[in-house]
Amino acid sequence: VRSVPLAPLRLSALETGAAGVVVAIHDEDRVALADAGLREGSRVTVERRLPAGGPVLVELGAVRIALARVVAGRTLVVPVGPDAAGAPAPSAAAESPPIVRKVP
Amino acid sequence: VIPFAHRHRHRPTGTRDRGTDLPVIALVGRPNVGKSTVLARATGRFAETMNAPGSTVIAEHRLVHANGRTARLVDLPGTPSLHGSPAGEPFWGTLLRERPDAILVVVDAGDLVRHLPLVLAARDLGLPVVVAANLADEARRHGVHLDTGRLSQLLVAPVVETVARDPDDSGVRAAIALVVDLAHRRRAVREGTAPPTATAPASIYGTLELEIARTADRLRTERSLGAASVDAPYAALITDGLVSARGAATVAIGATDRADRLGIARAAVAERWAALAAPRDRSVGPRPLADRLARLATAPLPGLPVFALVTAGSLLAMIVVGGALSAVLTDAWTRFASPVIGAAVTALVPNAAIAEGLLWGLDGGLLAMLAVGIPYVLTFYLVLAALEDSGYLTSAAVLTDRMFNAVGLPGRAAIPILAATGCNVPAIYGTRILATRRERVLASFLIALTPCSAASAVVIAAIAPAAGVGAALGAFGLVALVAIAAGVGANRMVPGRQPPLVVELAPLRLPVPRAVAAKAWARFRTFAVMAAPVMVIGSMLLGWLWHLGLVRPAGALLEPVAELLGLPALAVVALGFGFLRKELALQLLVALAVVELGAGAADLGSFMTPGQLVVFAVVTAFSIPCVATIAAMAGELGGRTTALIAAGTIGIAVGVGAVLARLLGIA
Repeated sequence: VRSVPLAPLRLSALETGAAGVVVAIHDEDRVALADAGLREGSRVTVERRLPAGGPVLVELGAVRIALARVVAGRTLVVPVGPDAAGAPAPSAAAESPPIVRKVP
Repeated sequence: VIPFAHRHRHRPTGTRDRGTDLPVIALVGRPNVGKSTVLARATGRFAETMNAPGSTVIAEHRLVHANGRTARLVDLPGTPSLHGSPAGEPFWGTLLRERPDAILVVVDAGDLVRHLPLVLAARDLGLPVVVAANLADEARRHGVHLDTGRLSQLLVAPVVETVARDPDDSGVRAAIALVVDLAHRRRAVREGTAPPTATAPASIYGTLELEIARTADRLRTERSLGAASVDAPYAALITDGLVSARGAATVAIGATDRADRLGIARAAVAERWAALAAPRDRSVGPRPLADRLARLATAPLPGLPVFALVTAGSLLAMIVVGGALSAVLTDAWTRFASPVIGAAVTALVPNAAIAEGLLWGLDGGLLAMLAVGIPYVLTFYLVLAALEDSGYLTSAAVLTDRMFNAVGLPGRAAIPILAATGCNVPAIYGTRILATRRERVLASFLIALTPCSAASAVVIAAIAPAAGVGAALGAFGLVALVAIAAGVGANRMVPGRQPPLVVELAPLRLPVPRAVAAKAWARFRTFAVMAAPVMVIGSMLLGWLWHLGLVRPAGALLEPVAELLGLPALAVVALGFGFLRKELALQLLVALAVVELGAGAADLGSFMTPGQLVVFAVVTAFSIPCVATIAAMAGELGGRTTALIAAGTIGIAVGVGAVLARLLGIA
């Protein structure tokens, strides 16, 4: 049995290979991260931290994203186990396929 | 909010094909999803939409045919969302200005979670949407099996799998046939020749749907009242019949909601639907080779040595291939074209002054194009296109990010700046890969300070014979140090700050030679159309100055500069001619020395001291960019910025030259 800390960590502090669910994003980074597909609720895995304060490389689903250390430093994540699913994002409301109807 | 200029029906730039009364299909998708390849496959010709902030949006217009009907396909810049600003304005403005009747959204079949939100946003506009699930082959290799029927059902829109890179793939044709049909139907409804039978989108955003409905009602009222308010641009979208009231509401909410609740809701829907329609088979074996290579490319070891090899190889290709092509073309031109042009101009133009100017322009100017344009620029474009299509550029950008941060640039600036050592002109165009105008200005400044192969030839040819190879290498070292210091200074002076790096790492792929050639040729054509007239006219003007004997008075005017640099006045005149072509500075220096001092002066060592030659070479390396570079820079950054950069480089050249002259004891 592995204990899972619930306290949020900076993404830059997450160990290489560890996964986390994003719980807070700095306002300044919100647009850039959303454009890259990263929002609160996204599950990321740290692939590598480049030396000398270089970018942090993370896996987000099938893609790899490089984040400046400053961005990773102000993005908070809750560490999760390797098989844990991402936390549900706010406003998630798509539980069933839509009903199609014709309008005149 | 940037108001949507709905009254401004501009004539689209970059239009290639007519057919302005035909239904319009907008081609949209996230960057690097293969949109341009889809366009090339659909129309048989490569095109590139410009993705550079601060530059004009070039929307490529092409005619597409399917089932006996024709529509106009408009390729738009890649964008992550409707509210992204890939070209300086919100994308929805760029999109709706084209008045689309249908939208073809290209998505990555293996990465629906990130691509579906754009599809949802397009669908929310109330326009017919067709989805091209591209890169389907890669998706399958990654264990993603797309159920197009299921996704079509969820989206209420046709979904077609495509592999646009594969010439045998029929998916693009099928997607085009579907979207042409939908665009014609929509146009018929718009023109009142068919009843509206649009399919209403179902409620998928939970509690946000209520806000969307309220906003739609408000915008409808706004439209009927004709009131001017913050809602006016969105109400105008309904008035113009561009989108549904719901569509206008989603645009308005997306533009004004700082919390981006609609974006979050779309992401949640995308995640859910991607899991339903494109489940990932996690039992797939080891990662594909390309994935493993991509990871190695971003590891410091072996990433950095590989980066050094790739850049050295690219540079070598430019120098060796470009140099060889330049020699062949120059030889062919001087053997065959020059005598013909000379004879024709002399025979047809009796006035000696006009004839000489024409000869400078038509012979010298076009020769300059052949000696620089085709060999170096085309070679660079081929190398750059291959690197881009391989997906390697983003890996290089990430690896070198920290190094370039000191001069206010991201790592990807390494590519154009290194390319500048071959030729500054394509390097200036290469700055389009940078994200902000500030980055492009700073990179262009550094490029202007980087000695191109012609300037390097001047440095070597001027210094090495008289002062030795060590002095020549020392001069290059000095130039590099000064350029770095100037870059650090410019980073502090140019307003704004560098946005922190957030970049998606492109997967590594084998470039398709035909696509690389088509992309390089399309870019080269743009360069040639812009640069050739500048080279010809600039050469003509200089020819007339020469013929009218205005060069010597110019020398007298430049006497104070000559004194400052410790150089003979003629050398400063020659430096001025480096404006046309860098290597001209040295050639003209020899010519002027021979004219003034006799044949013995062809050996520069007898005319100038080694110290003077070092100063001459260093100032040539830094001084004003050549006319082709200026023209390219003006086109990319505007006249004012170009003038500032040129003035900056002249100031640095004279300043460094003056200090060096004093250190060497020649002034």
